[in-house]
Amino acid sequence: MDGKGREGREEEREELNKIEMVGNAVKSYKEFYRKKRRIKLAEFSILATILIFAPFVSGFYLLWLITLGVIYSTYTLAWNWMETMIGRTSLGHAIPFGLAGYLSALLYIYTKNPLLFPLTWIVAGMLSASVLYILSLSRDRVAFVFISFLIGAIIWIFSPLFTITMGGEIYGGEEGFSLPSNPILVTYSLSVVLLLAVFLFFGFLRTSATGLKFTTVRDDERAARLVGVKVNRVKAFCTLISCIITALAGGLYALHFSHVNPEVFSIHIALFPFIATIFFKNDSEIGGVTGSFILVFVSNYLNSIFPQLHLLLYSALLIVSPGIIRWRARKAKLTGGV
Amino acid sequence: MKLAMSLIGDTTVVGMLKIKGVSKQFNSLTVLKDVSFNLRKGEVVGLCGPNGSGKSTLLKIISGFEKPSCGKIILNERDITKTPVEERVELGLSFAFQMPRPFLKMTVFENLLTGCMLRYEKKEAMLKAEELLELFGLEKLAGRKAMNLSQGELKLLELCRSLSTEPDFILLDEPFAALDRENTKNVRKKLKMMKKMGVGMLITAHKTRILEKLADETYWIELGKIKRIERVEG
Amino acid sequence: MALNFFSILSSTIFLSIFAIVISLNFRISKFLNLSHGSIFALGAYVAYYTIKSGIVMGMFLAAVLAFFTGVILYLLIKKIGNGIFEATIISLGFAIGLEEILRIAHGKGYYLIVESNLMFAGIDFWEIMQGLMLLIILIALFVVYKSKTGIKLKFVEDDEFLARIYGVDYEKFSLFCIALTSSAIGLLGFLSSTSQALYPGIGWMPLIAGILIAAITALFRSIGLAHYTKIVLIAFVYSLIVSIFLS
Ligand SMILES: Nc1ncnc2c1ncn2[C@@H]1O[C@H](COP(=O)(O)OP(=O)(O)OP(=O)(O)O)[C@@H](O)[C@H]1O
Ligand SMILES: [Mg+2]
Repeated sequence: MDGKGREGREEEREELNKIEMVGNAVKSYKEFYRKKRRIKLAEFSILATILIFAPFVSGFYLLWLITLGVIYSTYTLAWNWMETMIGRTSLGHAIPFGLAGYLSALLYIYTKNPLLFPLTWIVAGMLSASVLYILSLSRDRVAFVFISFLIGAIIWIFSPLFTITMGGEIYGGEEGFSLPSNPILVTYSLSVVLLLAVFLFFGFLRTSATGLKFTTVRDDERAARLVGVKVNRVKAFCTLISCIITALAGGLYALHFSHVNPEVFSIHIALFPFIATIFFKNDSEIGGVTGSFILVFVSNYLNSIFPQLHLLLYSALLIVSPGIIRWRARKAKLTGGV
Repeated sequence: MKLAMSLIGDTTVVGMLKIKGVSKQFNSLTVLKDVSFNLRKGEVVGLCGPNGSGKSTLLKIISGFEKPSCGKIILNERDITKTPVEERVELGLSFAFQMPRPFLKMTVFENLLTGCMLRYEKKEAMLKAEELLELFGLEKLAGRKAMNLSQGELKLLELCRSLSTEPDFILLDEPFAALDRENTKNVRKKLKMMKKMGVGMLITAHKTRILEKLADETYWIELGKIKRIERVEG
Repeated sequence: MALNFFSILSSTIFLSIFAIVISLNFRISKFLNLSHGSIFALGAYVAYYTIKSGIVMGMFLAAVLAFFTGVILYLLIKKIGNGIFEATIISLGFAIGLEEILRIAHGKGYYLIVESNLMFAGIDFWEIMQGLMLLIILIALFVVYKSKTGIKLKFVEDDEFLARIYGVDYEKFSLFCIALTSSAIGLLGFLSSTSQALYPGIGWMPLIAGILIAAITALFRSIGLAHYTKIVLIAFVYSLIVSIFLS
């Protein structure tokens, strides 16, 4: 007995049949990607429709919550980009996320001009990207996880010490900074536009030739260099894109609450995308969005029972995550291939 | 076969890979001492020696994964000693690892496609990748993920991928290691075919026998020194 | 002298224990144990409840409670995790869970104060206890590393896989490492509960500082006892630098 059981063997036979049917590799490859794109486009249309009609049917609180879900989804997609393209699991993405809010709040104190916010967000993204890029140069991926976590945690711990004094008033510290408040529809539409744009951009890039080149870095950096991929350039690009989009999401997050405090750097923020993607296929945008929305809504429900109860859920999911991720990988292996 | 020939650019230009006085030390350990030899396009050079004699180290130096302590690598009249790996690949050098390193989460076809895309736009690259599949008899595996392949299939894929960047020279680190008789024969056949296509190959092995009738020249490497083996016919 | 020598010394002792514990977990159990921060908080909360009714009893309780918390973590990792990354993630989840349980159990008062002004020859009793604890840990490490077990331990530190093949009972080493270090951190939490206001996240800062010190020491690549004595040195330098910055 080979110990695989009847089911396993049947699946294998099915797979063999599938391969025999392939025949023309180019045709089936093209077919596969065309189908993938079509599916992605369908997912996009559904998401867009829902998000466009949401403001007309939901009340203020629900819309507020959906906005939060949209922002978190964008953040998850950006984080996931680094994981699926260059194989780096970052536990330091709270840095661009929080820094964007902090920088814009600082700028607001000095200039009182909210139109400059996007600029500060991009600067925050570039600053954090340069740190993560340097970390990503090492081929040790576990070290990347640890060091990014460590840097994030240090910033989190020391951010309450950050204060500025202006006109005799002290800003910052544990309390954080205030930002101008704005109508919910403004943050909502900005967030939705960002999410949809990111969704399309990633979905398109992922199914393109460039995306295929990027993923060689995820699979094997040395082999990637052997097919002529400029590994460091790919790392720089992916880190930059990921961090800037994260920073944009973080900036909108701060606008959404009209306030930032040291909690934006917390490990809970850093862990959010990791937890949101535990159950869903990594290379699908809709998976990340669904996971984020579920996590936001369930967290909100738990918090209504007891403040911060959602962290217990985070804890439980983290503890069981290795088992789930391995189970998913096994499934992907069985059903793998074009 | 005609299609296959078209894979390897212009075969009339005689390219040359020169290794000039390469030495390598790891801290106090001297692995290579003043190694020099030439490899012409379309020629096969065998490199034999016992375990730990520095064969893999030499290949890594030529391909750019390691830096030599001193010495020069010259490819088609161009000094590439300081060129990074990916640029050497663009210049026409390729490398197949001793332990195959495929892109595990990609299909066999995509594995080859990544290499073909170095020189062609996607549409053409796909055709080239398909040609390679046929050439190596891998059509049936086209849609299978590399992580589900057997060791022998992986070895073939590694060989095939090293050819996909259309190199003038390929460095093969023990292509026959860990293969059964059937697969050894198969790989030999493919190597002969590649030779006919005009690719220059540097092949390492433990024993000289396995390279018989394949290598034009064979070197023996031991204690860091390299010596040419005179062939006795018959 | 502008710098307070005494506070630097006490910070050195405190951070040394943290860094040694993190280092032991990393070298023997082969993962970055992020749960120590929360276990530290657990020990401090035990002090809050027991310090009035008996110090020895309380210390014992903190150590035992932390020990079994460590055992639970070990079992979770053994059951679910595989390799350094997964084990670390599990310990992180465990840390957050423990912190939240502490927080939910003390829903009303966020900051708690443990009052005690035991003095001993003019020095805070709790500081002396921490110094004593570091001394005991170093002596224990010395004894272990000089014994037969020490050779096995070095083997495990060097290559866990090989050690397993040669018949070292790795699982036992790993279990005892996690449980005993947790116990030590629980005790440390108890002993330092009087020096600050308690809240569930109290352990993150020393944890991160401890990881930093352990990581810096690891750059020197010493093995066995030499590594742990170097940790004390680095912890001293770290405390010195921090106190210069803060003054
Ligand atoms: N990065 C390194 N640091 C230190 N020593 C190294 C390093 N890489 C290789 N060596 C040493 O260099 C020597 C040559 O190694 P190499 O891998 O080139 O041998 P080889 O001829 O390929 O052997 P095999 O036939 O077993 O593959 C060995 O003694 C090895 O231990
Ligand atoms: Mg070798």
